Formats: sequence, structure tokens, C-alpha cells
Amino acid sequence: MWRSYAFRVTVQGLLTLWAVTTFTFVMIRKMPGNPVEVVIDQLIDRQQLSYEEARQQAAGLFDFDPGQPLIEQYADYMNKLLHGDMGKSISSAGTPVANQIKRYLPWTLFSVGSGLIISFTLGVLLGMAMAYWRGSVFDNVLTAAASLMYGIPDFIIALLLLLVAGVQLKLFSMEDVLGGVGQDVHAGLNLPYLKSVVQHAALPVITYVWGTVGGWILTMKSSTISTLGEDYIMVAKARGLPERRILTAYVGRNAMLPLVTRLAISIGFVVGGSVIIEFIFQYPGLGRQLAMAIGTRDYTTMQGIFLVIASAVVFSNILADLLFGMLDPRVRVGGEE
Amino acid sequence: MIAKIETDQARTKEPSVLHRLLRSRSGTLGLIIIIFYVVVALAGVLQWTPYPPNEQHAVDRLSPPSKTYWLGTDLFGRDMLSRIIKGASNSLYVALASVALSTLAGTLIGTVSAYVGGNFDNLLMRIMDIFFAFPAILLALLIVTIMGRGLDKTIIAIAVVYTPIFARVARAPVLSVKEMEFITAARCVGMSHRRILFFHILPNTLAPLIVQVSLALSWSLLTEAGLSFLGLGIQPPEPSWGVMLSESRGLSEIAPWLMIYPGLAIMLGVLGFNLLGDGLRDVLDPRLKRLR
Repeated sequence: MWRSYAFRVTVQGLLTLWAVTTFTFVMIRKMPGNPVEVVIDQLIDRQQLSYEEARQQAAGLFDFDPGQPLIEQYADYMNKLLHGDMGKSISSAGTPVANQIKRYLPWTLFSVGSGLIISFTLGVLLGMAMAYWRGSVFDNVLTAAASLMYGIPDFIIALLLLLVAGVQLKLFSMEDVLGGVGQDVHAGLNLPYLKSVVQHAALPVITYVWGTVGGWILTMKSSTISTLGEDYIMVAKARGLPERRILTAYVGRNAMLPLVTRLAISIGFVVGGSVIIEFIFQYPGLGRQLAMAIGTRDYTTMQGIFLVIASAVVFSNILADLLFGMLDPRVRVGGEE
Repeated sequence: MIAKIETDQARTKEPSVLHRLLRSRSGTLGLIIIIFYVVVALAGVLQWTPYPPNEQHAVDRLSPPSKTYWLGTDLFGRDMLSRIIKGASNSLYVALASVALSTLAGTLIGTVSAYVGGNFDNLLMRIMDIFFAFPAILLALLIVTIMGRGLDKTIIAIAVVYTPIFARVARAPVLSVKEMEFITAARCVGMSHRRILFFHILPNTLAPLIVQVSLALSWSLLTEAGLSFLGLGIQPPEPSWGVMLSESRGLSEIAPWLMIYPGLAIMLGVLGFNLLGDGLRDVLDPRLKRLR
């Protein structure tokens, strides 16, 4: 039964992925202002080529021929994609899109990933503590703070951080925090480089944690409260189990169930990062690269980045479904009918 | 007759939604913020601003808040208060229009899909999954890039992004309601599908939809601000809080008021709709009463 459930979830996910790929392909090809035409015009201008020659040269440069019918372009694109070839960037001519993604993805994974880990851990611990001492000053203050933090848009947090901590309090200079890493350090496993990387990631991470921790706190709190009301907790108490054991093995584990699937889904959204946060902090992640690709109408790069982001979401959804099916047998049985 | 008396009694005992909403602290606060926000937006529509929002006072460029300019002026000497008031009408217009569109489209897709069921339902929901595979702001970015910039296009982009959410929210209650006995009864007496759908099933989806509308207004406000901040939403010189925030970048050292007031305005609007949504959920969702 489990096998067929897992199979169905996976097939459905892969179908969604295919649909997403096709959707982005068609949408992006339908965009006004064809960048290839711009390059063709430049070639005609500079090298005195005929239109046909220029078109062929441009097609070679971009790895696709804009004159082909859309369906042939699509077949070509899908064929290359299955071989791991995402085409070449248009704005920085000749660079394979895959290389660009390899270059910018780690920055996003590092900053948003560590943000997610910090935010989740903090949220779960605080949420549980608040549920345990609910009604106390600690609970009331944190609940209000969490709702307030949850309501503040992340890019405003980012701007306020720069304004308050950077400009007013002068805690750091702009060169030390904007960008991905300082100018004067060399990439590699040396202390100054690692220090610089952490230093530059600090503000994006703080912004991410600030913007998301409220959600984790509130979910964990309500989940723990409803778990505390379960009969088996009462039974555990009646059996005289030590408080600490009830808290970790009985309350904590069960209260975390609904959060596990949410975590799996959040992992998928890590790749999309935060376009606006990366934009504000000039952080060299995938989101900022996407915003730039949109600005320069770089079809192939946009297509590649959108594909990576969407696949991450789809795969994490598959993961969430599988996890949920494993944790809650009713789900996979329900799907059999 | 007896049944009627009973429902009347139930009604007199149960206080109205507004009454119950006002009993919760967060609901009241949210309602106050939203009313304030709507009044400011109306003032913007009626052009009750201290100065015309796009009027440039070249002599008074970047002047700090004072008696003449309550919230200071920007790089072109435009009055910040006037621009924030006009910005409120713009962002509320975008939020209301886009959420109205996505509520209509989403509810229609969700209810019909669930009511028809089978492969049709399956197909529609898989199509909705495509939209869920993108983070909201990225999907809006993609759509705006394809359609071009401008107020109306921003509205459409945001509406498309939130339609699948409404489809899901509307679908769930329909799935359970359509199996109930009173629907079978309605079918037995020969009612048309359309009548059953609109008069018997749809009213049962209203409570979750109302909550969702309030929350979606806050997201929509946020998405518009984000798009405008990136230069892909409302186009300058038309005032928008997102545009104003992006114009403040690089000037925060000499003119922090350029960033603080639009930032506060966005925060307050988002907070208001969120609190109202939470308050409404507490009032309308019977499942949550148990937990309190």
C-alpha cells in the first residue's frame, strides 16, 4: 500500500514538474521585446552581415534558433534539458546557464538555509516553552512579539536593519555587509575568507529569521497546546513519568508532526530565496540573478533559474507528501479508494 | 414552523459577527487600522492632500519633517505626506481589484471543480499545482515581465498569483458539503445543478472565503509593494509606497524619513489586514472555539 502511495505521489510530482517546465518555456517565449532580434540588429550593424547570416550566427550564440516554429524549439529545448543542458546565457553571451546557476545557487542555499535552520529551531523551542507556561508574562509578551514580527514584510526589515543598525547606530559600514564577500580576501578555506562570508551573510540571515520565526513560534505553540490536551499525556503523567521525558518523548515529538511537513515545504522555497532581500543587500544569490535576468530579458537564464526554483518546490512537496504519508497512515489508505 | 422558531432563537442568542469580532482585541485593532487606512485612501482619491502629490518644490528638496511639510519632502521636493496619502489609494485599489478578481475566479474554479469531481477536478487541481510551484513574488514577476508594466497589469499579475489559493479554499468545503443529505434532497426534488451550486453549496464556503479575503488583501498589498520596489509594479511618478521605498535607497543617511514613513505605512496596512483576518477566523471558524 505504501509503495503505490509513494509511486502515485512521485509520478504526480514529476508530471507537475513537466507542466511547470512547459509553462515557463511558453510564457517566456511569448515575452515582448525579443532579445535575439536585438543581437541580430547589432550583428548586421557592426559586421555588415546579411539578415540571414546574422540570424544564423545569433542562433549559434544562443543555442536556439528564434526563427524555428515554437514546437520545434520546445522539442529541442526539452531534449537538451534531459541531457542536462540548459542552454547559454543571453546577456553574458556564451556562458552556460548551468554554470551561472552553479555559481549563484550556493550563496542562496547558504544564507537562506542557515536562516531556515535557525528560525525553525528557535521557533520550535520558544513555541513549546510558551505552550508549557501559557498565560504567563513570557507567553503573552512573546505571542504579541511573534504576531507583530510575522506581520512585518521582510524587505522592510531589511531596509530598517540597514537604516537603524548601519546608518543610525553605525554598527557596521556598508562595504562590510553589502555583497557576498569582501574585496580583499581570497576564496578558499582560509579564516579571513570564511569570516567575510559569514559577516556578509549575517544581515540576510537575520532578516530571514526575523521574518519567519514568528510563524514557527505560533504554529508550534498551538500544536503543543492541542497535544498537551491529549489523553495519552494525562496517562503518561498518571504513570509518574518524569516531566522531562513527557516533554521530549510525548509532547515534543507529537507536537512537531504538523511542523515537519511545513519544514519540508519550506526547504523547497529556500532555493527561490528572497529576491528582494538579495536585491537590497546586493547578495550574489539566485534570486538577485533572476531579477537581473528579467531586467535584461535574458530568456535562457530566466528559464533555467525558474526551472531550478520550481523543481525544488515540487520535490520538497513530494517529500512532504511522503513524510506525511509515513507519519499518518490514514493519508495513504484514504488515497486507495 | 417549529424548526423556524428554533433557528430564530439560535439567532437571538448568537451575537452578530461584528459584535463577536469587536470582542477580540486583535480583531478590533485590525478593524480600526483598516478603517483608518480606507479613510486615508479615500482622501487620496478625492485629492484631499496638503499639496498635489506630484508637485515639485525645487527649493525645498529633501527637507526634513516640519510644519510646512509634515513628513518632509523627497529628492524632487515633493511632499511626502501627500504622496503617502495618494499611495494609500493606489495600493488599496490594486489590493481590492486583484483580490476581487482572484476571489471570483478562484471560487468559481474551486466550487465547480469540486462539484463536478472526477477527472475534471483532478486536471484543474494539477493545473493549480503549477502555480503553487513558484514563490508568489516570483510568479508575479514572471507575469509582469510577460505582460509589461503598469497599474492594470500589476493587478492582473497579483490576481493570477492568488487565484489558486482561493480555488483550494473554496474547493475543500464543497467536497464535504456536496455529499450531505440536503444536497441529495435538493437533487431529488429536481433542482438544477446551477441552483444547487449557487444557493445551497456556495453559502457554505463563505466563512473560510471571508477569512481568506482579508489575509489575501494583506499579501496583495505586500506583493504590490515588492513589485513596485523592484520597479515592476506601479510606475513612477505615480506615488506608491514600494516606489517611494526604492527611491529612498542610498539616501537613508541624509534623509531617513524617506524610508521610515512609507515603510511604516506598508507595515500598518499589512498588520491591519492580518489582524482582521485572524480575528475573523477566530469568529467564523467553529473548530477553533474548542481550542480556546
